[in-house]
Amino acid sequence: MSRLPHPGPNSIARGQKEDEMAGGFTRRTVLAGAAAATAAISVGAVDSPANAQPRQDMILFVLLSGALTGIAEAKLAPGFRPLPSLTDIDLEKSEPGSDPVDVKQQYFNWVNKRRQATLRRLLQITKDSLKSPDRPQAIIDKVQATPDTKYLARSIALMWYLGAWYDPDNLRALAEQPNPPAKASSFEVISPKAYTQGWALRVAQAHPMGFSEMQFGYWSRPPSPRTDFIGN
Amino acid sequence: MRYNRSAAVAVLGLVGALSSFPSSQAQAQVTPSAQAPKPLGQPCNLMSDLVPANPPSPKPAVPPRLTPVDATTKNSILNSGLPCQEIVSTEGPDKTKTRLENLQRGFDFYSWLTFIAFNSPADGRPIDQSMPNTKTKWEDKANFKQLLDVMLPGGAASEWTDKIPPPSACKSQFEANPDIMVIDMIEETFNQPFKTGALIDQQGNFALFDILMNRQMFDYIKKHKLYSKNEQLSAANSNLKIDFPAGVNPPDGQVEGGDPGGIIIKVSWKVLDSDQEKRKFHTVDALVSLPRHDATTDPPCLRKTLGLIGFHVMHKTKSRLPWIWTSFEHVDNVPEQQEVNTRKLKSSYSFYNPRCNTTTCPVNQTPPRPWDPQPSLGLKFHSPFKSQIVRTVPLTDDTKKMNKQFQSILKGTVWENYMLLSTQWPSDFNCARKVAPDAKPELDPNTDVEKEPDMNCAPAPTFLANSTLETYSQGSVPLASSSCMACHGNATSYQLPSANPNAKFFNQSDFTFILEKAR
Repeated sequence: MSRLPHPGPNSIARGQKEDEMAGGFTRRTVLAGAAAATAAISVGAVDSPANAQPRQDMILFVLLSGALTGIAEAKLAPGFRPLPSLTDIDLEKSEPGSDPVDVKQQYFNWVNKRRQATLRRLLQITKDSLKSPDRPQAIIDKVQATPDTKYLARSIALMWYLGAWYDPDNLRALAEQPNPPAKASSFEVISPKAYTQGWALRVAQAHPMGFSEMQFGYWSRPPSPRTDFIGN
Repeated sequence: MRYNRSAAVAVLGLVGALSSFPSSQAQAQVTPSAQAPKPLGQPCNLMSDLVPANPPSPKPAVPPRLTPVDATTKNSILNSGLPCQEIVSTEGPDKTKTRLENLQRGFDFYSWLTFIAFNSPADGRPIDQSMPNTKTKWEDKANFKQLLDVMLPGGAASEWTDKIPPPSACKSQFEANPDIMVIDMIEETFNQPFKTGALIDQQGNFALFDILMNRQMFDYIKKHKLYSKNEQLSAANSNLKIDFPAGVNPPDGQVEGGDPGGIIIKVSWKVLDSDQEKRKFHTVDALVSLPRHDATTDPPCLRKTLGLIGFHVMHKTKSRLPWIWTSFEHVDNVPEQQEVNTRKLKSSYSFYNPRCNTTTCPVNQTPPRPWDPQPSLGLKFHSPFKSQIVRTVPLTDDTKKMNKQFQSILKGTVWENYMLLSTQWPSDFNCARKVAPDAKPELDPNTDVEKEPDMNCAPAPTFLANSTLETYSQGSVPLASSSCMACHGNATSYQLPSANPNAKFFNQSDFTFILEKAR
């Protein structure tokens, strides 16, 4: 990116249930939410049987996200299982993950609601790259072919790292216009959960302020290797 | 006690046969008669929520089918024993269920099997032959030991079979009845975790809490002398990475060779005064020694009938090294918030008065201080305060459905009055089974106790609280509301850094706070 987005006018996404706003899910909302979301997210783009669509879309979204962020897919989506292997993925057999926080589902829904057609193209790019010897690089090369996919890919990467949504049009303005409007720097914090799950501080071998899953006494020891955080 | 191999094989064979025999035939093969007690988990219970492909393989049949829990399978389930390790699958027959829901169902099934195994009569009879006061397997000193019988005064060593003398004031009553349960009250017996407060029932009595461990836990503590605070502080233990044994099933297709590994139980009790109450609870006859108030006077020792109201199980397994966390409680403890909102209430609860409004009886409040029992009052609280507790996080519909099924096969016993709240488990299975990168064959059990940065491995569900054991930390606020793993992941021992300044200091105690009770 030629220019990093700057902190600016921002907001926290509204309309979530109280327990989600608190950054956590109850058992009921996790399970009911997962079921409802699974039923609702079909992009309808990738050529597979209809009932396998949401699952395969999510697998592709996780693979896409792994390529864009450089973070292991199983870290982005705990429980992610590429089968038979990460280098030879069978979409019908693989599993997109089964963690109760399930931020990937929230991100998928967020992007799908705002940029469905472009997301569809990104997922197809990912699917077309499954057999590439260097799948992440193949995905990155292809998404840069058009501004639409390029800047949505940037938005998705920022979403994972910062838990915030930077609109692709704004990112494009920041990158291409000599004097972008001030609003181009604006962002929206997707949810409190997205804040706790942001990767920027984890890549720095740290944790978000006010939310740590690290062990008692971690401050007295050197941090674990970065690979333990990001899996790659 | 000897492990009756032929009986065990018969049970396992029956379990496997459920996949290929009509249910009536399966039932006919069961002989639920009393048999000699055998060590818990010998053999391992290999049942799961899905019918296996082949006995005793844990792999589910294709297409997956749910193991029925009804009259046709009652005897096989009630006699199936203790699971040594969970058998769960992301698959299930209902295509509307998510992988998370399928896994949760598997863990909840495992929890019910564990509950039945532990609460079956100590004398080897099946659980459907138990009476309210029948001694259970976990109450049998051959299987479990109370924490304070391990962490002895002065950090003294003990053997598993040692009989620990009771507090002074209880001695005469204990000698007359040496099999009676003794509860030596310390602060953790009446005050909830993080000193969040006492729980007072509707009769004005303190609820009591107790912690027990199995032989595998005891042996590890004994091997490293962790029962002693001084030994924990010693140079010899400065480099010890505490790593309790993990449960493991026998190799696929085999019956023998597994082991349950480390298991800890935490229970809550209610003082029972009326005969009517005693019929609804599992009960024990106990000697309760009140907390010591001064050095010169022995605290009173009270003989009480206690009813089981809460039941936690922590079980470490090879595939879930951050342990599996099971929580049950009595169905009459408290109402759910939704039941309060809709006024669908029972006539009475142990910790909620349905006839008291929220102004007079605000819910989920701690009692007025002081919280310590006073010797002159016995187990009665010092004020008229009674806890008005509501469950804020409801059970899932799936868990309620499973509860009904298991309660139906326990009908006619007090155990039909207990319900599973949920099972918390580490959902990131790559993290949960990760072993140390510098694994050494001589280390036992050679698991990764340094599982950083997040050794909890994505707990599912994120939050879990028992209304009697984590009463005041129910909810869904990250790092504040009750989460078994998020809390216990911070447990430490008394260990000190070694003299080597370059050595990495690590005093995590493998998800248990019990080592803090070393004396």
